[in-house]
Amino acid sequence: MEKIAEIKNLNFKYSQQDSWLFHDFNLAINRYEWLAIIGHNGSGKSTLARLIDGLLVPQAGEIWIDQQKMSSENVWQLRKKIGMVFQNPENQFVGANVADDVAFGLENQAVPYEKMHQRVAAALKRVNMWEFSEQEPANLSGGQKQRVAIAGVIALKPKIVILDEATSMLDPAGRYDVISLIKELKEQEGLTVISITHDIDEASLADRVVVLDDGKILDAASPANVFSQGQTLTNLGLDVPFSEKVKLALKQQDVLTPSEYYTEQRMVDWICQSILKK
Amino acid sequence: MNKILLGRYLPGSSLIHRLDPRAKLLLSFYFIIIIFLANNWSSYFLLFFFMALTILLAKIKIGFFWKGVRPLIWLILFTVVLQIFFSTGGTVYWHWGILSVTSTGLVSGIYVFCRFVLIIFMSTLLTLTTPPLEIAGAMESLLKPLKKVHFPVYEVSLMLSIALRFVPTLMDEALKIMNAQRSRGVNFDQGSLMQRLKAVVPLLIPLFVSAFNRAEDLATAMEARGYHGGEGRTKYRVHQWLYHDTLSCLAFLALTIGMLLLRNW
Amino acid sequence: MDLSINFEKVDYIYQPNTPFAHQALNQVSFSLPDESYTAIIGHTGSGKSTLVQHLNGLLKPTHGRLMVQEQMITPQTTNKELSDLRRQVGVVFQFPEAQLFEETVLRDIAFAPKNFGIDEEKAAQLAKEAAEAVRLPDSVLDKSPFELSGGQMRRVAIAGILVMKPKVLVLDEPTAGLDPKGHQEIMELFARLKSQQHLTVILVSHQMDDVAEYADQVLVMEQGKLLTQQTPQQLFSQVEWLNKHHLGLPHATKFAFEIEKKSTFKFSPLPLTVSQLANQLANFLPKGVSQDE
Ligand SMILES: Nc1ncnc2c1ncn2[C@@H]1O[C@H](COP(=O)(O)OP(=O)(O)OP(=O)(O)O)[C@@H](O)[C@H]1O
Ligand SMILES: Nc1ncnc2c1ncn2[C@@H]1O[C@H](COP(=O)(O)OP(=O)(O)OP(=O)(O)O)[C@@H](O)[C@H]1O
Ligand SMILES: [Mg+2]
Ligand SMILES: [Mg+2]
Repeated sequence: MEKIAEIKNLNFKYSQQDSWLFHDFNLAINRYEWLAIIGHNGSGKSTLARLIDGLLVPQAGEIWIDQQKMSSENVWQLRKKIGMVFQNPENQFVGANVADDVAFGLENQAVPYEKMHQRVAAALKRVNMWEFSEQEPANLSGGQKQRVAIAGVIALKPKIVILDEATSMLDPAGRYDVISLIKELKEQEGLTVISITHDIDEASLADRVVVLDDGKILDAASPANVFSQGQTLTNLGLDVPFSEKVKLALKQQDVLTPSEYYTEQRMVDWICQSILKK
Repeated sequence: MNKILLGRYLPGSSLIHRLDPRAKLLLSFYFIIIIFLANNWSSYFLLFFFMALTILLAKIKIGFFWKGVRPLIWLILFTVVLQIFFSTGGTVYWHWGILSVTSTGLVSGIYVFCRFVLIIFMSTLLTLTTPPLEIAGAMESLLKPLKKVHFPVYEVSLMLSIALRFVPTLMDEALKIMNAQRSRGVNFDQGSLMQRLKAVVPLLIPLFVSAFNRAEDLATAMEARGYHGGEGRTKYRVHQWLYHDTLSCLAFLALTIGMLLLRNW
Repeated sequence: MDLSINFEKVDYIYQPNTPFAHQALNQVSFSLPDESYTAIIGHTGSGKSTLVQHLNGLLKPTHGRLMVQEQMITPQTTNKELSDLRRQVGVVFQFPEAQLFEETVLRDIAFAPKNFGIDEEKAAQLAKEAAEAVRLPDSVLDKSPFELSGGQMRRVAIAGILVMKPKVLVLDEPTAGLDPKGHQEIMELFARLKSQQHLTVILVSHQMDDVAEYADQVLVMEQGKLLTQQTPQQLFSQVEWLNKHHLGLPHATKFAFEIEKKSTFKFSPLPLTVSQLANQLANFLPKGVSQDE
């Protein structure tokens, strides 16, 4: 499969840190993939995202984006291929109102006036925020601000979108809203999505889940594979899918449960059939 | 904290709202200068008449403007009283040492009061009808000539507009921190001066910490979106000088002529 | 049972008499018994935070009145009268680490008792106890609170409230931003403290699983109005009503409904948590030890 991003033998630590946060770290991301990164607070998820976007510079190792090796000369060029949405909706809202905020990235790329207006309008319509284009951030909910941030990203037509806990400060309705938007955009715009999240339902949408623990990859596999190790995840301080929780609780009551990972739907079916059999 | 109206924007679509912010900014300044031309009743009357007309055009209730005056009322009264006691000339009604109340003093006291009110009204009108961002944008565009002397016009105006954009956020934050510390027994509005000063520390430190964290997040977000200085950027908002902007300049020209005719030379 | 909290037709209007005026609470009346655990749910902007800020007098009603721990609060109540109430009602705000400011963790926790006139030594003693209650290791007590991890900072902030030994503990989305483990630890901490110290707890939350797990009654807010006050059991069995108001179900309840839909199995009572779900199902499922262990 074609790689859109590749991290090779990366070594990185913050200047205040005594030991490597990432030591000889390797990770490849496929084009059109949805990759979820999970890991406890402080495991290095945000740092990894910033390294991929060239916002932090590794002490050693290589980062390849779309077949090009990142260097200080081309980092601005490569960054255009990557859009990032951060955790705090308030702190990434640069413009004084919705339209200005979406335009910010386009202004930086010196997109001409006419084209810029077209792209801002198109992006805002895409995320259903066009009626709000003159609103100030103080009048928007958290979920709406995140949608504006997403509009700002897609207006730049990136190839990779990185979501760094983009839904963690939203209420369930806002969360659902943002995730379904990303799902839709990924298909229509042909994006590669890297989503960093604590939300297990969000992670289960991914093609592949990477489990990060203090800068090391513990596991990188399909959600089904990763989630079948319920106990390991719990020990790491991570959530497990609800079907696994049910399984665990049933096991404690001596029920003979299936050993492989079942989605919630499949778990319901299994229970219904087992009840019938008994 | 929420009561001050000066500096707040009231969304609307009146003629005044739609004026080019550059025109509004310049004309507001111009109005404040013209005020100093007034030196008799009829010229002040003309100014008030003009002011009332603009407020009418902006479709904003006059009540708001009074609220803008209120926080400054002590400063105004102080100046008026000084003006009354220290002016001489005309009929003397009362005097004690160098202090005296004279007819000229009374009149000039009233004039000073009128000036204050007019200045506050006009600046309140400017901010009520112009989003802060547009004021910042207008300043940038008016300061553009300074680029020739390598003044970082773009950066300064971006700084200004981001600062303005974060005013409500930080106000909110300050309110939240105050509430949290109140819940821990801090009294912000009682006690001796010393106690009150001490009470500010648990507000200011968290506020600074939060502002720094926000600034760091914001800087990262800006860099991630390709910001690398003001050079080589295009602009989303370009202001157009329209017919009604020219019209409002003409109105001010008429006002100036009126003032020149009415004032005592 | 004694009443701990009683609201009578409370209205709250932000910035009254301006064009920005906004009625955030509208005729809210309810009462809560001593030592109850109440969850407040509702969409963003429905007035939950506004409501809980009345409980220790940070906001005073625009109309109406309320009684908290024997203290009456009316629109006329002055701040002076409320100082005692502030000590009895501890409020943990969303992202409470925003309140940290002292040089050391211990000093920060001891801040509240000192404000209430307790001497330095006693305050430090109380602070140590509170740090223990939230399970902060001794090694961090002399560090700066800003050097700690997110989860630890949250604990310090919570200890800074518990140190007042409040009778009522108000929690406004206390676990926002924590990872799942941190979330669970903090929620269990509150449950433990409640039973040990006989607290009345009020929790604002968007997470129905927490409401189901911990609360014994639920207040539902919508656009400043109190829609209903019920037990979780009653509330979560009214699926249609919840749908109409765009409110979710606990995960276990949703799961149970799926099973009922696809089989003849009937749950009674409706399970709200995973363990309740498993308890009811276990006897109808094949027993034995699975091969993988
Ligand atoms: N700017 C910084 N300077 C120094 N150390 C940092 C900095 N940012 C993060 N760290 C440290 O690096 C480690 C990884 O942090 P990172 O923010 O990448 O974690 P994370 O997995 O994103 O956590 P969270 O779930 O809390 O967002 C942590 O130990 C953190 O304390
Ligand atoms: N300081 C304020 N000034 C004006 N309006 C306010 C203020 N604080 C809150 N409001 C408004 O009052 C309403 C209720 O706000 P509140 O914070 O109580 O909601 P909430 O239910 O806690 O929401 P969330 O789930 O987002 O925390 C909202 O519409 C909000 O915009
Ligand atoms: Mg992070
Ligand atoms: Mg709230």
